[in-house]
Amino acid sequence: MTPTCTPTVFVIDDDAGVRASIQGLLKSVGLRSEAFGTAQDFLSSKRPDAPSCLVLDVRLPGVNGLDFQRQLADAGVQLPIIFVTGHGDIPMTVRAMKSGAVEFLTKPFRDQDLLDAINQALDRDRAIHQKHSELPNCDSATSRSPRASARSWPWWFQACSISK
Amino acid sequence: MRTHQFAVTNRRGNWDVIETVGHKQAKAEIKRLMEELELRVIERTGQLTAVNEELTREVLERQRAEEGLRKSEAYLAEAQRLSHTGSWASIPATGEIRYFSEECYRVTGFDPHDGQPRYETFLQRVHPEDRAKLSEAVEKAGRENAEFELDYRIIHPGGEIRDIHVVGHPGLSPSGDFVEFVGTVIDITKRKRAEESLRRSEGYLADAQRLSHTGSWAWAPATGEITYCSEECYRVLGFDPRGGHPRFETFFQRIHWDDQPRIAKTLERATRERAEFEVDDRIILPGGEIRDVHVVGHPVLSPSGDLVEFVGTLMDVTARKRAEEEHERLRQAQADLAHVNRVTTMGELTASLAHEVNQPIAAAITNANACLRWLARDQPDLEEARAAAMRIVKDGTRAAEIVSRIRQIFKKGAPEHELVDLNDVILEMIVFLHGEAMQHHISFRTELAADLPKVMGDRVQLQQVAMNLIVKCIDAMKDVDEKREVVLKSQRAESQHIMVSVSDTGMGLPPQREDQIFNAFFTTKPHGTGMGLRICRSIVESHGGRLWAADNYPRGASFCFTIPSKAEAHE
Repeated sequence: MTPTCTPTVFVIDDDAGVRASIQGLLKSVGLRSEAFGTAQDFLSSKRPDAPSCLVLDVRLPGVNGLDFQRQLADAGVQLPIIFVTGHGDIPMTVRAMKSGAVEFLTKPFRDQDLLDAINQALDRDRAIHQKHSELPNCDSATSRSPRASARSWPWWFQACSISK
Repeated sequence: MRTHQFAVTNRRGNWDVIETVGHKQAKAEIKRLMEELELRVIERTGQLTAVNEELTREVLERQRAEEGLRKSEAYLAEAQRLSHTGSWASIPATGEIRYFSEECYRVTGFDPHDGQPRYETFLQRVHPEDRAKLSEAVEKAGRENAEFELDYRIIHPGGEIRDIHVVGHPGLSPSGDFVEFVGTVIDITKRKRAEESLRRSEGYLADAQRLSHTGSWAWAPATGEITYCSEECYRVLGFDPRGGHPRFETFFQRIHWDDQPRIAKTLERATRERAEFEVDDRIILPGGEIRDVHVVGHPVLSPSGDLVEFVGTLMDVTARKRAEEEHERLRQAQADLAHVNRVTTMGELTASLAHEVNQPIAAAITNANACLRWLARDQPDLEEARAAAMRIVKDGTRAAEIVSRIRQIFKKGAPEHELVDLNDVILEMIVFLHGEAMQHHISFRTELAADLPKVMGDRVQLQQVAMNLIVKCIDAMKDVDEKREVVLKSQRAESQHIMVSVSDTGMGLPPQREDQIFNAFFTTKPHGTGMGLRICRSIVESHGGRLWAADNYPRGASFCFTIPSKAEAHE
């Protein structure tokens, strides 16, 4: 597998300690990850051409996790999301799951629960990509279509999110 | 014997006296008589000469006496002038002034060229308020053949008022009848003024002593005598001024028995070392009332360096002591209230505080799991495991810090004073309230001055002020749709104060009630106690600073407070 095809787990949590711990856990199971303190930081990053998912904290400065999930959905960005929160209540969980979240975990969570959820999310993303045939054949190392390069998030989405 | 003489003509035709025997006898008689006469003339002349000499001497003596008298009169006049004392003689009944010395004219303001005034004219010059008094005294003395002596005022033609002391003595005839008064008038204006000024300054001093409850005293340890004791001293110590200065032993008995040994020791040492002393003690008044006094003594030494006496003050500090005790009680109540406010505020923040503690715990658990995974590998990756363990340490430390901060705020104790960096206080409270702010999508922005001087104060109380103000700002923005931001600024302000402002973009101060927000029990929240801002203000003021609020343009409000830098906080 080329590096671009390596699955990537995005982590958005405003707490640096929590970010570091999740990244550490993912590293211990060989998963590549990128972490951000805010949704805005995440949006200004490059989107890789590889299966990916998002571990999203509900409580964030600026736009909160649940709103961000809706914004992604509204903008047509299909990125499987696993929510983590310090104190989740049932209505919040229901809302997140209804909007298509893969899992809703309460901190502190069991490590295996998170890893299972991530695997599930990555599988879901792979399936989405295959279905839309958007992604190049990852098995073909020679494939270098313009689309295959790292992309940014849709411009209209960025503009709309950041203005918030 | 008869003398017989004849005249005859001699040969030359001249007449010769022819003496007879009788004639001769007569002649001898005449001669004798002549000689006798001569002797008497000589004798008389001698007598006359002696008388003449006597007279001349007498004249000279008189001249000398007159000269002496003149001199002595001049001396007297000079003495009168120097002592402002005039002498006079007068018969008030007839209105006649018989004698009026030169100085009398000067003292009473009459012109010597106008001659001696009459008694009525003189009375006209006397101050109207004193006229009756003088007339009565003179009349009474006249009736009783007695002396009189009094002070009155006289008005000089220029309008100047002089104080006069008059003494009159009745002059009696050999038969004992009243003839006239002789006496003196003394100009005592200067003395009166000096006396008045002394009296006034004594009055001021007495007033000052009375107002400040401070008495002054002098005490000679050698004799044990209290040599001076001001009126206020008597009052404070509960002694009767009519009883004279109390003995030292009497005074000492008034000291509270618990204080006596200490005071005795202090006084003994001060006497031995001839040194200043300053003591606080309690005085028990005869009625049982207890007074707190503050005594300061200063040694007075003789030129040879021996201790003559102590002079000093005695201040009644009872009211001040009571006020201090009252103040202390109030301060305690305030501290209790502040504590209640902290606990209440913390109660409101429980959810977000729990979240703050939960974060590092969650991170630690995840890190521990990762660590275990690195170790559980077929080839354990110790480097990664160590890195994970290090993160656990960090997370655990962070959790402990948060808990300790919470505990500190919950702590109930007397305010402690230490050097506090207000920037630290602001940053700590941002960390503390981060969760609460996040929950309401509120962000913090800081503009903190670098190298901010520290302030002297109670860290927990200052944190409480910052916490309260930030919570107020968060509350004000909960229902605002636009940008939600708390801006925290620190800067140097005038006269070595530090100013901190906490601004929000919320709904602003309640209109027309800007001044009331600091009042006790003023609240806009359904469950608010209305004590938060009130307590903040009292904390800031107890640190010698000021707290106020103002509306921001276009939105929101600012709370500002100042604290003096490095200065002793006012209690």
